[in-house]
Amino acid sequence: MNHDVAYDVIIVGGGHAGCDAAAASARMGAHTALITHDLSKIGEMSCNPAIGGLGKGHLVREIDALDGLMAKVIDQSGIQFRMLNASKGPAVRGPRAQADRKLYREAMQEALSNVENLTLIAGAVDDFYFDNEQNLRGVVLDNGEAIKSKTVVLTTGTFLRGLIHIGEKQIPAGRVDEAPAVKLSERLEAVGFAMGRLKTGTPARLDGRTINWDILEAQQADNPPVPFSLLTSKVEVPQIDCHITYTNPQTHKIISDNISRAPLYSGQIDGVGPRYCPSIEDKVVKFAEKERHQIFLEPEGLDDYTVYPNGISTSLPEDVQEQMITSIVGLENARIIRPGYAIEYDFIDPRELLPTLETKKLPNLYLAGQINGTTGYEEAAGQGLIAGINAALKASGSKKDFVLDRAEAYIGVMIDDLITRGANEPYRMFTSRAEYRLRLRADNADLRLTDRGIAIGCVGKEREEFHKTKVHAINEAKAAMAALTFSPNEWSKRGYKVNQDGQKRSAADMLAFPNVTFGGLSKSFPQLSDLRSDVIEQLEIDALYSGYLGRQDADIEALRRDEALKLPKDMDYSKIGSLSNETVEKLNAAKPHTLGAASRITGMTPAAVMALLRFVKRESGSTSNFAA
Amino acid sequence: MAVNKNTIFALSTVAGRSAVAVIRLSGPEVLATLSVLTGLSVSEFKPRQMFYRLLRDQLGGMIDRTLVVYFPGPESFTGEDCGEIHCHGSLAVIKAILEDLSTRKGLRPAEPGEFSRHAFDNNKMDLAQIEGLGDLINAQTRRQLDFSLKQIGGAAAEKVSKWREELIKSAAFVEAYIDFPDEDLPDDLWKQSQDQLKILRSEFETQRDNGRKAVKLESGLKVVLAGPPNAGKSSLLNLLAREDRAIVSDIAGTTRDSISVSLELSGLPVTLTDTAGLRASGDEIENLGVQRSLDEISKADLVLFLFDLSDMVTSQSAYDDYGFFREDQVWKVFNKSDLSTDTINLEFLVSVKQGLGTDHLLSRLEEWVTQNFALDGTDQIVAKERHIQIMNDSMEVIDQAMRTETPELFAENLRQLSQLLGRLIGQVDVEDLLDRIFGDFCIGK
Repeated sequence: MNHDVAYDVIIVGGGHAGCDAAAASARMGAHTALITHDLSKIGEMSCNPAIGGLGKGHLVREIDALDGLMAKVIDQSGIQFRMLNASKGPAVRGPRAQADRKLYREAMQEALSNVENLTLIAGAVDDFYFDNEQNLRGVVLDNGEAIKSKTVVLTTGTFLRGLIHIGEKQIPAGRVDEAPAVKLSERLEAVGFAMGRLKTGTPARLDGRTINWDILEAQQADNPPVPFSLLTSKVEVPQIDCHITYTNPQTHKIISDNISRAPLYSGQIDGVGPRYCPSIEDKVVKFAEKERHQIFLEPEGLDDYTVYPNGISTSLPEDVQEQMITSIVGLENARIIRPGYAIEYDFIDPRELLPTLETKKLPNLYLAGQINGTTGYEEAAGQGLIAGINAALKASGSKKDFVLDRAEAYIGVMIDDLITRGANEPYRMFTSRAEYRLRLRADNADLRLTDRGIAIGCVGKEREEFHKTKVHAINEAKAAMAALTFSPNEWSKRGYKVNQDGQKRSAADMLAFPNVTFGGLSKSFPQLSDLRSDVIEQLEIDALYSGYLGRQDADIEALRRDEALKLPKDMDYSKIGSLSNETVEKLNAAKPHTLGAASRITGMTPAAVMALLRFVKRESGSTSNFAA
Repeated sequence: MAVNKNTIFALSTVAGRSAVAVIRLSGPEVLATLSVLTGLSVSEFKPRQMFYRLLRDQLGGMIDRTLVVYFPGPESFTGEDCGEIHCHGSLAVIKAILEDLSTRKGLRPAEPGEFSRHAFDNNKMDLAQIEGLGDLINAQTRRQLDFSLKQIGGAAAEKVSKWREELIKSAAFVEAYIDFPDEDLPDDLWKQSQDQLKILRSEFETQRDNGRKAVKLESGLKVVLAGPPNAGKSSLLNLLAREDRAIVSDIAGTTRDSISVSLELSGLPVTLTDTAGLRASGDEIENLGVQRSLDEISKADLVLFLFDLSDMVTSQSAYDDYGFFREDQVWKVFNKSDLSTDTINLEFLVSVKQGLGTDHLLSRLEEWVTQNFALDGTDQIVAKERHIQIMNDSMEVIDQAMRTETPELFAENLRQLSQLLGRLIGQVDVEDLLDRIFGDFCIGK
């Protein structure tokens, strides 16, 4: 293959960020290349074999709404679908699926091979390529070969100076048996990016044939499974059970007795790990009073006996891992296929990024995924999608960018959090991070985002058709509901109890009453009887949240007003007298692009925001006075 | 850099009679103005130094001998050039100086709070400080001063951080319940969250009720003297105020308009108002006076209704005709005990003229003030109308939360609650909730 062609966009990395970045860029019409060291590892799930969950499932639905790959791929490889929080309200329901690791990888590689405009290249990227004007214009491989492009998206995950810890053993690696990217990390450091070090971990993998399944509590898949993608009509993959077991005092004793050999406690690891994904040694030390910790035994595939024991990630030495695992009920005879490990890696302070995920210091370079301090496949893919779209836009010479705000999408919440607050620990999505949670639901991601995707050009024909039909059906249903507007008296005649307050109410208003169901309404009004089920679902959810959604509108308006107040890029925050040194430091680090973003920086008080506003207004005011 | 182009001025001591009054100025014209008023040249005005000078108005007339000081910006209260004129506390003097200032070019009277706003604009203080300072400046008596010093010094901070803690706990627990369905967490997290919120609600209620007292303190308590003409209301006012404010005569109906004096009872500010006697009269002016009396009575925290023991028939009919007072709001005071031969056993039997029984009345008044308006405890945070409003709104949001049937709607109300309380307890951020969640529960696979 002739690598000397200039691409529009180069994606470095074939993980979850890289895959959706490459596909998005190519869907935008950009001539795209994905470069990764081993093409057979594209779409690999290096950590636990599952997609979705609370917040994360929301992200996947949003990726799907913008025609990304992750949802479709998990639908072709999921072996246990569950809707989490099914008993709670629709805003906090999160789809989740266990994946068959091999099926996922294959489905992803298959999906990428069907993407037009996309070339897959095997190679290790060592450096960037700069043109004569010192503009970043591509990458340089480890063999010295330059591959040119207009923009580059870096999605190198944990490979930047990756270092694996297993007990006292330390192995430089991005994943087990895969070499880390050291030169690239040095280059990024040389550019002057603020960088830090994070840590994550994974448990030992077990041989499922040596587990005593019969005595363990089973957890079943939903029946029928609810797919992630709107374009998947039915999940065809066979569904399996997961099993649950628990650690016990004996397990905890083994860990405590060997704690000095744990790299986390011996001082061998500097990187910050996530609080929500602690290693088992962390759990035992920090929650000593807890008698047991839950472990989900997740099969890695239908024809793969590897089991992922979710809940006991560890970097203890191998012999301790073995003692610990065999102390657990059901795992007495379990054989370890591969020991657990902790991995430390470099990340770039995401406050180096614009909302498009382009770096401020090095134009044409975009970053997505774990390199930005996040954790999780879904977080990575969401960033990849945004970086891919924006890299393609810039490569096309367009002045447009594609940014989602906090009231539109979890993706917007995530990127805004990252670029304004940075990452003190690996960043993971929770629904509590979204102020407008009732609006940002997994069930309406398409209604929130697909039109925006169509407008920017990242949505294919099939989805566009599907979307337009659905929106049309919803609008018709809403019109039908609105047409059914009656006085309290008229409602009473139809058998509905209503306050006799003279207030006319529509069928939609009526649906907001707890004792009124859509089923009931459609019996009274035959014109409502043959609506699509997804349309009815939207009408019901709208009714459920109607009071609250209305109230949030004013907040959202204020948010967007503050977002419209752009702050100068070169602002020196130490010039504003009344801010604390700490606040000045944070502002100078993040260089927020809008007043809204500034207000969301941790520790910003309303008074500080006001001081900022006054300062900016005064500055701009005096300039205009001067001009006049 | 100064933002405000105007030079503003205002009397910054309490309006009313006092030994010394201070008039404050802020803005670009301060130095020039002081120079003209005092006859000192601009260069002679050393910063932060008091000058004893005779002030003259624009026609050269003498106004008063005063102490004048100049504070150049930005090292001043507002960050702009500032000045202070310390004059004698006579109303006429104050009025003359303020009038003279208002006719000078580039100067105008300050609007309420404008000095603080200038200070804020020039980054001299944050909002909380300004709010505390407002109270300090308005403080008329010792008790009030304690209050605002507390705010500025950050006392009651413990209460604030406790509320914050409780709110964070409540929100964190329901968020954990929502976000970690697959984790090994207590089943009753939402219930615990609700219980926590109930505690918070009852605290808010107490604060709200005490806050109303505090607000009352701010404006001062109002005690109104009412009764038939010539019952001795004005004499009682003079006696209680220990000065001759109201004109007293033996002619019934001498007081035709209401007269108020400020005094201090048990360390709290009280306005005592004398009113025109209550009787139906053909005199239009007097009727107008009666109408005013009724207005004053309706605004009173306490009414002292004077009975004239020498003319109980008239007194009783005045009480009956206008006797729409609430039991707890009116005390019957029987005056002119010296003229009466009856030795009836009445709580308030006084002779204002001879000073009999008035000490008892005074001490009962002080008791009443203490009982009804003194704040016990030092953790009262709510002391402003706006804060009371926040308490009321917060309780409403909590009630709404309690009625919700799904955790996400409950949590939504908590989000609103933390927005409402933000000005009192600081913004609660999602990181605060996550800290609490991961601190309390072992979460994660």
